[in-house]
Amino acid sequence: MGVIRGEEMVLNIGPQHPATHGVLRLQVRTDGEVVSQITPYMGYLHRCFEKHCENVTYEQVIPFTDRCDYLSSMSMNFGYVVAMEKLMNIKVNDRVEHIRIVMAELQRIASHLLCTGVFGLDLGAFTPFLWALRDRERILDLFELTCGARLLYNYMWVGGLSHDIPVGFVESTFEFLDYFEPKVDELENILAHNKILVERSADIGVMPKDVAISYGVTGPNLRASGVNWDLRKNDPYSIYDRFEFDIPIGQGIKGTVGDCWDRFYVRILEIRESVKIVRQALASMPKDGDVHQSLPKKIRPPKGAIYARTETPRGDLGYYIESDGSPIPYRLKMRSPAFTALSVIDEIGAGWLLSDVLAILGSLDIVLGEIDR
Amino acid sequence: MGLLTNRFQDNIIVEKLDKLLSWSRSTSPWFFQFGTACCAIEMMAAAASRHDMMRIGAIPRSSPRQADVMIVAGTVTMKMAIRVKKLYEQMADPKYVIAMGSCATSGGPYWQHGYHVLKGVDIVIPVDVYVPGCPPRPESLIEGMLKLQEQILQERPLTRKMA
Amino acid sequence: MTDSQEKLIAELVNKGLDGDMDAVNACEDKMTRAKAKAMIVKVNKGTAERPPMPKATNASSDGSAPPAVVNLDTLSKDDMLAYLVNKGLDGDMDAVNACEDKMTRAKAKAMIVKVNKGTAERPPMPKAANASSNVTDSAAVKSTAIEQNKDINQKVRKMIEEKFPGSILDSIDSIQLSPDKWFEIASWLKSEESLIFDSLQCQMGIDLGEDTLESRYNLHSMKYDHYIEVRIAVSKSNPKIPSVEKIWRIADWFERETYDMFGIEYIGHRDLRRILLPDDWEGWPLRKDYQEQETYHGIMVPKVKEGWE
Repeated sequence: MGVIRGEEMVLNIGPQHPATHGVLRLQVRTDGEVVSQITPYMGYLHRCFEKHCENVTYEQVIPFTDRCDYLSSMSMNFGYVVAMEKLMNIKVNDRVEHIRIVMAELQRIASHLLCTGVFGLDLGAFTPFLWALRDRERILDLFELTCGARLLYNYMWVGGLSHDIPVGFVESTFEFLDYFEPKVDELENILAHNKILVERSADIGVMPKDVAISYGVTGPNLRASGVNWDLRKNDPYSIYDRFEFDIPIGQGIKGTVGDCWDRFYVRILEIRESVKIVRQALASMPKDGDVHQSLPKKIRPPKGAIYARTETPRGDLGYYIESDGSPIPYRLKMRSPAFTALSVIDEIGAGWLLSDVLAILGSLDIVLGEIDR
Repeated sequence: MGLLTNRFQDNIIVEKLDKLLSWSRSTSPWFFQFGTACCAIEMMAAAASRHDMMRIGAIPRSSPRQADVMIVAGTVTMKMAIRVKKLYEQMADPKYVIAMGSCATSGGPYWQHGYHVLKGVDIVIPVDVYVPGCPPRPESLIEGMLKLQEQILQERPLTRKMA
Repeated sequence: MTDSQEKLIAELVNKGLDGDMDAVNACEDKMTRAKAKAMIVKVNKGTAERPPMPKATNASSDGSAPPAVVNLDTLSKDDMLAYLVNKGLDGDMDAVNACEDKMTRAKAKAMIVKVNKGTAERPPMPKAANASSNVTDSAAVKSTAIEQNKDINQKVRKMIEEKFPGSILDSIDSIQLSPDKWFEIASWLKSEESLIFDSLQCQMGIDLGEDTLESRYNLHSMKYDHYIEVRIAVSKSNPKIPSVEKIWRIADWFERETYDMFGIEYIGHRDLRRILLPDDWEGWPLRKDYQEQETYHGIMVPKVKEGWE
């Protein structure tokens, strides 16, 4: 008896779909239930970020960078500010550096919580999503205490910060961390070792090392495939070299190295490492120092170009800034980590079932605002 | 309901039925979560545990066929505008639209040099409530939903309109 | 301006240029501080020359002769060379002659002559190992990283000249190539044993005005952790560059985006079409002479202000 061959079916997932993380259209060619090719179509959220950057001043670019990856605005600001300070050769004082690290790591925890919750939501688990959002709200409370905004902060400025941390911030953060650490264990127990989730994500969408490097995948996706590469350790910026933390790498505990479960689990382990960094940074923060000390009166960088990278919750964020000596950037390019993460979906997604495609997409943790800019 | 809309003369039965219909429509506005950008995250937060939007009757639905209200949360681009119109047409009557955030209201921070941004979603679909903010707090969105509920409560679907 | 004030300004300028702005800001006298900052800006811009570090004031880590002897052991060869050159240029030839290694001594003297002539740049003074806080240490580490970067740029440029003669067009901070042999050079860059640039970090286009478009590549090596930048310039009337998407798979989407925004065509790309904008969009948006189209499918593209706005 021969194999029954049907015709290929072309199916559109998106652009409006509850499980695509934003407006993304995936055109899948399926043979029955098995997917043979995935083509992503983007650009539904192309907001002309780079064109805006060529028409506004350097300070005014910062709110636009917030809105690119709206789940980790602090990290977007941080990357831009690190690049500009390298270009203009500005050094900020220790207090500013410590506060920046605290904010960036809290933002990393918030972003990973959301990603973990939404991954569970995509696969059908509603309760962990509510737990994750509940804890994320407390982090957003801390941000609101500092700068007044819940989601898009405009907090890190070139040469300093917009507001100093208020009285009571350090105590509130320690309180939050003490409350939060057992919650990570709870989340891990209910979700990571859950039999259904393991069956739906282990051994699925395996990404080998060389594919990951060739496609430019960075961040937790790369670390889950076994490559020990984290910009905070390999190419440290700011004062990350003063703190002690580990880099979790995927080990294929439940399946193969580099499968969806690994990518998901690496993020949970990273939450724990970020908690460690925040504790150390708060303990060693200098008590005095003016956060507006090194703010330049007018930002006019010298002529030249610079490419600087920082580590956001999604991977390596790169800013290429070309300046011609005027207060308005000549060209600003943002190399976004989610762009490269999405490009690999055809390579690792073909050959699986249709419901596995959504698990793979969820484990890559993409944000469309960053991909389309 | 299309055959019965605005058909009957005003009397006690029609008035009471009208009130019942508009009350039941206003207290269960199931919303179609059409989130594109940052405002979508605040919409999700409004539906999550702290600012629970389900307590006022608004349950999130993923399909336009099952929803009454479409919350357009986030920037709409030219590429997406055609699809927004299609989705609006797929919703069943009576339908309402809430434009959430400044991008959906009038183009937002991208109005000046954004060649690909639709300057306000009311260019392609009719909007009932505008919720300003960038992004609006979840409490603002809930206030927008409550204003929409007040608006729906004043409708008289069965009564014949005066000429 | 008195002599001591001049010396103070020179010292502050040197400290500021080496990255220690705290010392500049700590100065009490407003006039001196302002003059020092203005000088730093001018030196960075290139309109003024860096003044030599005055000998007498030495609050920094360089130290006078006795601790210097201890420090010299901890310096590497390159740092030693930089230290001797700086000492010599400041007038202290005894320190140069006191160095025991003949090769280093000769190199230092040659370098001093070159700097005085103006054919070479004065290297920055290396920070000693037992210096101040972590802050200046990390600044020193970073400056040597930038030095290493310049070295790798020079090294790669030499290797490309040897292997593919005639390709290098200009000698600035990055490597400027012509588009003809780019595919071969790129595959060699990835496979060459001492380089192994296996990761294309960023690829972008830029409109330099005057009918020039440039395509820039930032390459990085995961194995050796060094990175270079390659630039390829084409004219607006004939913007064609060979595609490298077979070598680094991410170049596929990066090149599509550059094509979308600038109109640079990549020869050999398997599927060159717009990626962010709709397929029937007109024009190349990120070029400096881009005009927005009036309508798109009946929708007005520029903002139409209502009466109340």
